[in-house]
Amino acid sequence: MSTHAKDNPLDLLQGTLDLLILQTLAFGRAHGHAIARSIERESEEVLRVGHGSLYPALQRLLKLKLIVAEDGVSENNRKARFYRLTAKGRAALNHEATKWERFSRAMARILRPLPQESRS
Amino acid sequence: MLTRWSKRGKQLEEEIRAHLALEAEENLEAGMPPDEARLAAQRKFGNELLALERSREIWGALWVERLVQDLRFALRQLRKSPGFTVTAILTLALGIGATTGIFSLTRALLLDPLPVPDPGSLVRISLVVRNYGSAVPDLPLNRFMIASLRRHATLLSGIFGWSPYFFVLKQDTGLHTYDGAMVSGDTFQVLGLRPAAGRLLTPADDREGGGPDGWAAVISYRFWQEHFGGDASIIGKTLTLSDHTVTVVGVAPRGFEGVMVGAQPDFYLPLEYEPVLRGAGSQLNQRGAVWLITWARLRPGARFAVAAAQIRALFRPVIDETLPAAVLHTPVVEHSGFGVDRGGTGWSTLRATYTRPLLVLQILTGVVLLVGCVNLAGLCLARATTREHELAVRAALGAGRVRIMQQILVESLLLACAGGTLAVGFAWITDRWLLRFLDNKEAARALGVHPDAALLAITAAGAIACALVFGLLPAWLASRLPLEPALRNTGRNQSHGARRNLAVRRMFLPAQLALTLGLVAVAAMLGATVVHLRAGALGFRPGNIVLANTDFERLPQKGEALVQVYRRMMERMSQMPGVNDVSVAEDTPLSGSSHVGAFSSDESPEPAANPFRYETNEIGANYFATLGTRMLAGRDFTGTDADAGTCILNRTAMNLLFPALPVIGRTVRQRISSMSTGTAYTEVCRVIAVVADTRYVNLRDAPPPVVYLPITAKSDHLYSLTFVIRGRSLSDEEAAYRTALREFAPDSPDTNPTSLAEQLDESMARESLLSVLSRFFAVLALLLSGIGIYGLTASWVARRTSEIGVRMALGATRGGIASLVLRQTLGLLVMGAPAGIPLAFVGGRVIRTFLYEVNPGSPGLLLLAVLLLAIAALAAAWLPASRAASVDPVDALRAE
Repeated sequence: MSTHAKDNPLDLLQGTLDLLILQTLAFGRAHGHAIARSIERESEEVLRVGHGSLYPALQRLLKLKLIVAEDGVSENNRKARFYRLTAKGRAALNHEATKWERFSRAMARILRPLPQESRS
Repeated sequence: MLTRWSKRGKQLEEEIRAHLALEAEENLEAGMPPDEARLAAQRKFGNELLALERSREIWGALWVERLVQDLRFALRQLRKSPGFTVTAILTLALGIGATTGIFSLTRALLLDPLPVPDPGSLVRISLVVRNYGSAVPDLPLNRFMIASLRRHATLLSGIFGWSPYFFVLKQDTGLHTYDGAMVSGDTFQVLGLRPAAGRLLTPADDREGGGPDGWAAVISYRFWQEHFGGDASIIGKTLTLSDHTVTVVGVAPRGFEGVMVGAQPDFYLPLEYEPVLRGAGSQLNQRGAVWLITWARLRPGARFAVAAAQIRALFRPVIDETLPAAVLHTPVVEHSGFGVDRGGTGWSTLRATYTRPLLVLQILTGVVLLVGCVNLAGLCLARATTREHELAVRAALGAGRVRIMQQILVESLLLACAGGTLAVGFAWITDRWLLRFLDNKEAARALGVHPDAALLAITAAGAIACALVFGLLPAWLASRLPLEPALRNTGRNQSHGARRNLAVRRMFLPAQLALTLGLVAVAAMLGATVVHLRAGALGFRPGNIVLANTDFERLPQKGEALVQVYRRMMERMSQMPGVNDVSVAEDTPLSGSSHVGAFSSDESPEPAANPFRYETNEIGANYFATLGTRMLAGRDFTGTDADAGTCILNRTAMNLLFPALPVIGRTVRQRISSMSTGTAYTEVCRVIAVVADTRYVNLRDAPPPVVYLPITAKSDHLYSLTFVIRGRSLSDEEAAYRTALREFAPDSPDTNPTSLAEQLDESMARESLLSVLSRFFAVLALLLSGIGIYGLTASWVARRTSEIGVRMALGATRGGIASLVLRQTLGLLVMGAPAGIPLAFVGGRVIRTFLYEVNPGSPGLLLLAVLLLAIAALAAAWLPASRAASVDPVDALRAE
């Protein structure tokens, strides 16, 4: 995986994508396409490998009971499957977000003068 | 389960489709043309199938689904090519079946531990007598040595002696013989066994005159169930065992069959019962007799090597303490020692006889299996080639490399499972057949194989190992196919993968041919051995001769009276219809056992190096006439007391003892020394005849020098001589024997008479067994190689159809094309055969102890093997060659 990292500044860590999905759903329910769009807007590169990778992540979160799925109708009157955060999901988001924040702050301190490419 | 997954899968597919539609709509709104909008959406989404599959993976049981998918697909694929499937399954069934069949015998003979606690700490102690250069191992000990070892060997926690004995039990239906043993009193304690009922023997039972319960007997669990229905009230009852009353004190644990492999003892009695049974012939209190097979248990924590060294070092002190002074300083004793072996798997002479043949067969079956696997790998590669296009399409559609490998492996596993299932049946048949072939009751019991869990596990392991061997390589190669060229070609033309696969297969085939050549050569050597053994001059005529071994130990007549019983029985038998000649002897030809003696004459003093080089046999009158052995000079024994002090020599003995004629009337001296009693003296006899040489102990050895002596009251084995009866038919002879037995010794057990022809067969049973089985395996390997060559040649022809067309169009004849194809096969042979010849040499060296008058490197046999292989190979290539020759150039070129 890491050999492709040149093109993906933010390597698609499972945790990252999961966290972004949870983050998106924190503002309310959404269907797959909308989640993809929203993630794209917030972090340009994360989903560049394809919207497809969203779906396994959604299945994982469903299995962990962090989100639930329900059928509904999309903005342009299509049948769609919507995802919504559960209480457990919200708690997990809070927990992970603080942890992530702490981690990224620490990383930022360490890696301040980030070289162009130091990977061998 | 599966339906739920498929529903979920469908839902997800819909969801993804909706996603793509939304994306496309947005693109449309952004001003893209419709087609491009859809494509852009798909690009953005990435690999749809991968997303689906990853999602399914997360649902958890994906592998089950995949497996079911793969299995279904594999089944469909295999159904589509029944020829391949049947070949593969049969190959595996034969290969695995033969291997596991032989292995289950090996296991029963060598590996099954005794059903006692901690069998690993049991050791077997034996005497190894080094007699003039040749060591005789595995001799028994006696109670004095055992007692001495018990005192001195500090690393042993217990030691006991064991002597197999056939007991005669008086039952309502008459007298019946049962397998049993006389054992030291503490045998069961040392083994650590608990009774199934009552109690086991204790040292208190092993006293002169019997213990607290009189003569205590322990019966086997099997006997208890079969004869007393498992009724515990049998404890304390008495039985009449070999004419004496014994008390049943307990039942041995279930499944315990003693320590001798192949024996099924039903009665265990203390050693002190032996003098009661044998009377004057008892060995119990003879310091020089050795008759107890000895076992011991190591102290907890004692290492085998250390304990063995201690026991071996105790040899001198032990024999100084126990042996009579007269034999203590004989050269035989001086050069002897204790042998110590691990005893956890029991012991028997069967091991000595069949261990090596079984190991050889194990190797042979292994080679057959290897040849089969190589073959299958070739076949699978061929299939992979024809499926290259399909695999490439699957890869292009997003199937991962691992996934494709898995698919192909599942197919191999499926084949292996089917083959393995058949193999269990085949293994069972192999064993049945083998045991029937051995025709040895002891062996049949020891090796009685029934398909049990362990055998199934071995078979399964074999099947899986095969699947990996023949499935992995093709799978790996298939997964590495470069996609683009494979996709572009549509099947018929040669592709990169096809070329590579063919090249790999062409590497396999010579290896396979080499292995097969080795097998064929080994089979040829063993076959030649049997032919040579059969062709040798016997010196007697084995047809229509019955051998009836007697067991007269319990007859009231002893000594001279017993000699008279034999004489009267012989007379009675010779009067019976259909009987021509009757005699009696201590040893019969080719029985595998004999007695040796130290003889000398005035011209030929006793050699210091090997005085016991003569065979000696005590015989009745008419022995040579009955066997059909020529008498060269002199007259036969008379069968009366006038025979005392006379002897008959065979030609070799005559040449050794009397280099110069005349011989008749000369004197031969025999030095007799008894290790049991420690006495030594010389006897003298007058030569009355010379007879022709005969094969004696076995078929291999050149006729030894034999001195024949008359049967007298002093004969050592007077109670178990063997009647030799020649007549019209075996059944007449047997009937005569039984009549005489009924009339003169009604209380003696009827030991089943055998025939001299059978004894001859049995004396070469190992060689025949090896020869028949190796021939079978060689044919199997030839067949497999043939299939391999056929497959390779057929695909070569298929791939070159257009080239052949061109050649024909340019004027090549049909014969020329056929020979082109056959030359290919010969090329493989030329590569394989030179590698096979060293293999044949190695094989010959491995089996050289079984060979007789056959040189492992014999050019004739090697040539024969190469010829057989060449015939098989060319026969296999013939069909594809003739197909190539009948290619129509027009068709072939048009198809291009």
